[in-house]
Amino acid sequence: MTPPSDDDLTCRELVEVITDFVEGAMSDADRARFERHLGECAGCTAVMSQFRTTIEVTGRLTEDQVSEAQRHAMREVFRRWRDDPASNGADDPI
Amino acid sequence: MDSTATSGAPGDDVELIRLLRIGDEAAFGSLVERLQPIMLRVARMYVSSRAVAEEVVQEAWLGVLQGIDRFEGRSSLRTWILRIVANIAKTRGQREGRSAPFASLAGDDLDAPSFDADRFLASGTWAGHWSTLPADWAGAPEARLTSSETLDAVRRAIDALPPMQAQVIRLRDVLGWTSEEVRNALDLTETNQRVLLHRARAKVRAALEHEMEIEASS
Repeated sequence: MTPPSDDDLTCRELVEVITDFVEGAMSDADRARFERHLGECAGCTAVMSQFRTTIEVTGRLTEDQVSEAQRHAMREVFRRWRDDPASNGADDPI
Repeated sequence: MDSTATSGAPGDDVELIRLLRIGDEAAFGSLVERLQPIMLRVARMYVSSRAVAEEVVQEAWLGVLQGIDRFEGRSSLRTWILRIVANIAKTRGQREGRSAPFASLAGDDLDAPSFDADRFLASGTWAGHWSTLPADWAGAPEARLTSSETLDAVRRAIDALPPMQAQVIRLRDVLGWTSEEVRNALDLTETNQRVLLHRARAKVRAALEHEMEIEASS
């Protein structure tokens, strides 16, 4: 690895812009700098992979289940509306 | 039904919207199963209790049903629904005398570093570069990453996040919403959404790293 120049990202800087990179929110110049660093740095390559793994593992979680009481209550809301759509006179929610 | 009214909506939405408009209870039920938990979480950011959040969500569903004929599909259906919840919850929170400024929901650590300072060299030609290389998780057994202990650790890490960080990572990475949907649903700027997501992912990554170290040394 060649010694860094002033224009290069440090590892400390790179880890803070990983999300900018993966979200496609970087200028072409910043993206090129990011990729240049990554191409030469095993540590940052490992961290990129750690972030990808983090996203994958988070994706294995599931949201809470709806409780039976909640399910029942929402069904009641639905049936009241269906039987009398104008009931309750609620304002436009937006 | 006027199908042109939803011409901008994604394919799955078009059918759901059609079913809701004709009063299909099963379609409504499937939406409740998918959205109720995140609706309660979003409502809870703004109001004082779980009970009030449940009332807010109930009111939101009524608003969805009463407004579905006018929904034009400029956003996805789920984005529109979450926005209705957030708006009702904010109004309710204000009436309760609660203020939920963005800063308190987002957390005060948005500028905090993702890694401890001692992970980087402090001086010399290579200042700011790794002092010791981060572990390569690609070598870890798949079973370790998918164990129930690991998933519990991730869940706990998300539950411990400031509320807006937690909602953003849940929506993006647990539920698979796009950044545009999340921005619209939670009324965030593009930058805010990204910063919240980065902080959330960085903290979950740190929790995973901790978990991997425990398991590696046991």
